[in-house]
Amino acid sequence: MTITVVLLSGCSDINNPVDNGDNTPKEARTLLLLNEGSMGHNNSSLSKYDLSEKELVKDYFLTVNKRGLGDVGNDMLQYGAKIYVVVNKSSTIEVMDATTGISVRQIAMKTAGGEAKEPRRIAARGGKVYVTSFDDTVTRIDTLTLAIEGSVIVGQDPEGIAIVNNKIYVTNSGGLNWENGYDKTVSIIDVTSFIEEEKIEIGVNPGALQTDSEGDLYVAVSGDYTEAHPSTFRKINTSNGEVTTVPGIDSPFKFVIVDNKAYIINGSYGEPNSVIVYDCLNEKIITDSFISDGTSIEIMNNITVDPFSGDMFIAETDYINPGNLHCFDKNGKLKYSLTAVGLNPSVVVIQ
Amino acid sequence: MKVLRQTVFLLFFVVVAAGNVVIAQTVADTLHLQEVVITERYSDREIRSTAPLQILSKQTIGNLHALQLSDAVKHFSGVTVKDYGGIGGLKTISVRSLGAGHAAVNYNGVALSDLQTGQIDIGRLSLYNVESITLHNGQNDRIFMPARTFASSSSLNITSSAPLFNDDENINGQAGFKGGSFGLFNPSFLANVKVSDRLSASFSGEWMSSHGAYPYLLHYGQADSDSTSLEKRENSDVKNLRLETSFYADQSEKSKGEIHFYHFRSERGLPGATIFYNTENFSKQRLWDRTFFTQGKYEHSFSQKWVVQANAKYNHSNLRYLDPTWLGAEGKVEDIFTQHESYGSLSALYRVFERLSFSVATDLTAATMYSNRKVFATPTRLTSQSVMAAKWVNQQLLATASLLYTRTAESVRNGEPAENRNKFSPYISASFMPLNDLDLRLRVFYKNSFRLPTFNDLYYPIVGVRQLLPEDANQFNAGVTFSSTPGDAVPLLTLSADVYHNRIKNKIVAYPTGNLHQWTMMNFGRVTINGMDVTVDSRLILADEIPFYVGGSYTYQRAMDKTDPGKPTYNHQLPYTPRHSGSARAALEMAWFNLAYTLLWSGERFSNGYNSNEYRMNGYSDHSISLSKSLHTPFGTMNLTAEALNLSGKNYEIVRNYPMPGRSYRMNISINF
Repeated sequence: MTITVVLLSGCSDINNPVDNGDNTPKEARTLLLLNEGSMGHNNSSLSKYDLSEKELVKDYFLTVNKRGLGDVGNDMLQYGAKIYVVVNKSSTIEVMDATTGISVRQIAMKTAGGEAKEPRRIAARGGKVYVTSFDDTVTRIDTLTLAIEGSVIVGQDPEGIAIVNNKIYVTNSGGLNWENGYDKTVSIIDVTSFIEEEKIEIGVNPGALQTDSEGDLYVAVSGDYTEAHPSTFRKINTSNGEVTTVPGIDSPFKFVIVDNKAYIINGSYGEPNSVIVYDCLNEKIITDSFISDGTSIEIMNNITVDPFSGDMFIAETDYINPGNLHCFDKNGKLKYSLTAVGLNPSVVVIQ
Repeated sequence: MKVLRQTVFLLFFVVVAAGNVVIAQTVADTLHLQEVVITERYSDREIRSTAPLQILSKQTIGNLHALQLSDAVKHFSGVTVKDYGGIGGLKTISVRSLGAGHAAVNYNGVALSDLQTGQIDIGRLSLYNVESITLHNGQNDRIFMPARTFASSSSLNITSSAPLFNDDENINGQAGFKGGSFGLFNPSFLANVKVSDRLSASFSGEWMSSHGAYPYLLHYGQADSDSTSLEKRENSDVKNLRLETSFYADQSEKSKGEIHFYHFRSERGLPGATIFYNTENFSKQRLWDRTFFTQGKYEHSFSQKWVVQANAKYNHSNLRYLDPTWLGAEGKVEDIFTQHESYGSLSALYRVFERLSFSVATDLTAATMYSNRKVFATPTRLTSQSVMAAKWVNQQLLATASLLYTRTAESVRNGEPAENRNKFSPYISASFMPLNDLDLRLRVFYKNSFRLPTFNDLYYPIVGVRQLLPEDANQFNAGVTFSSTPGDAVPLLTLSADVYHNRIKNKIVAYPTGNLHQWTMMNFGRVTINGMDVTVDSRLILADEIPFYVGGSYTYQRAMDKTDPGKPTYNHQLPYTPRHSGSARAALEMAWFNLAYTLLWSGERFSNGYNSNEYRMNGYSDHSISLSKSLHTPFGTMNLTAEALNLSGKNYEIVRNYPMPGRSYRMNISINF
């Protein structure tokens, strides 16, 4: 009887590029796809696709580890030689070896009292990973010891997380408090002291959060689905703290920034979703619809761009049937699709 | 050697009013002026019925190893029970895959209803003092019924035992106790009092509690090589209290009445799905519910030709749900819902002559729901139902037809009300006996029915949609029944086999909308169901005159999603609907004790509308046996039973991630005084 359906709404994602110190993009060999599964069904999974052999392994995590991933995998990140999978309802983080897929540690995200923290999104910096959780915290985990080092309390239901110039920014969505008007802030945490320094007001129900090379932050604000608080795309200048609205992007959902270009899933009610490409440096919209060959996708669950080839991956879902992963080339033409690849496909890690 | 007899107390004019003629295979035991005590085999009604009818008599129920109504109902053909495990787990029924909202559950002739969810949790209903449980597909051949009973696609009817006294008795009853695995503690009592020649009363009470912490094996993957761990089901406790009082009055040969008072309260833990690595945080939800209702019936025969009946009911239910693990600002979810319902019905029967009768009935129901949610709509629905029905009976042909008219008026305290509806629902059925000397009948029926959107469908915050249409169902059924008494060794054999084709239109489903990832209720679905129900019942006499009862059912259901040919689920089997399933029961009555065996089995099913390997769930079989003995004591007849349930010990799942208990044991003692 809880408003579990609304948990799926007002959420956004951050797709973190590989941060292993060597940022030179390489040609992709495999795709690792996280499928969220349906809440309460224990059916979150990982699919692995070999690009040269064109071979798909469904349920890769189960095959390697002889046990399921759990319930609702929300985020995935490769950092160094390890892959971190954040499983929300099972309240765990699986740390996998990036080559073999073997889980070297299952970190239980629980409080001292045994209550589930319900982790959501993850970002990495300086040998640590930082995880936002629905118990209103950001948790720091050391990547060598894989131990939880501590948590800092932020706003309500933090979602997106990005790290710029020794500060961690998280969007406080307030998604679990949709009845009381959500939350509308971004919390700023200092990396060294790991203390929340301030909150900036950004808009009702903020979600995805990404950064460009200049250190500007972009936020997809979902609003509360009424005319009083519509969705907007906003920008925070981290040097002077100025918050502005980027015009022309009415219903931003998840997005990524690659090469200072923001690829944004934009969905107007009743129409198929589209991908808007926005030039972050020159501050203008390059195209309202990146897909150039007429391919229509109703609901885009997530978006990933390969920095090496410029290929764009769109995870498609209808929330009921297994979804598809579509690959478009840098000109917006469909290259190939993996159909029925998993339930609610979402984050792609390109290896 | 003991010969069992089923004795049914049938008041004379009820038999006449129904227009049913109890034919040849009955034996009159004693004949009084006003009452007729008739020995009737329920199988007579089953084989004559124009629409499939299955009856579980009190004696059969006793051998089913059933603790709750849901356990007994699983033995019916064509029924899928969605059981979430344990005694307190939610259990809802769907008949012939039409969905839980289409099946009505009637208690002593009046419908139980829940306008909030549209479905009845049958786990809460007790089997204590139940005279019979019947399942009708389509409709009842007895046309002299309230209009509401014509409305559903199928109905499950529970009838309580009316008080029965021997010549010199003024009071009788039963005291019983059941105990067993997982802390089952279930005392019960029943007292029947003969207040006067014309008035009798019945009082019964029952307490059931269980800690429900059964062990189960948790599987982390489907393959045999995947890891498992042994866990204990937490938060699966239940405490139920039931109190009932009934009065039965015969004013005269021509009038009679009855009134029931029913109070039920329950507290239970909801153990939640077995979420990997975090089950304990999903096993903290609690549910409290309290129900009180009173219902009465009065019937009067003006003459041989005219009979009228009035029914009335008032129901008050309160439900409190608590989830203390919610991570939102309040740290918990607490929902309190209250429903009031008032109901009245008037019906009349006109017997033109012995073979032909007509009935009319009109019902009015007013139901309101309250909630502690902010700015809740607080809806009220007024439903008016009127029906005209006709029935023809002769030796070879039994036919009925009816037309139901339903009209609703919706109103709310806050916001917009749902739209009012009005609909006609026709029904026609017939059974025909082609050969005089063979008890073989062919039957057909067609029924059109619908279910109105529930208050949840319409008014649930954000998700509810006011303009929802009712779900439409059309059923076509054709079948054959056969009964014979082949010989001394096999005194009775009955068979029925039906094939059917059902269609649902405007099925109400929750669906995501656009990119806002918001779900809403829509009339989106279309379903086609082709199926077959087969039931067999037989009584044999083994060597040494030992009676042996054996029966079974087989169900085939091909329930296909026909919503959208472009979607991958097109023609896939509906979730949790096995293609093949069945049940079997056997009972042996020997000199020193009785032995009973039951089996419930199901073929594989899918936990998702998309039938792929990852959603495939294995079939299961549940075997149970029991040993029982009757003793004569100075206080009365004492019955002792020892039961062993789910002998295979497997924690099979009916609903994914809700394991059932493994092997368990029960013991019953009761004294009839």
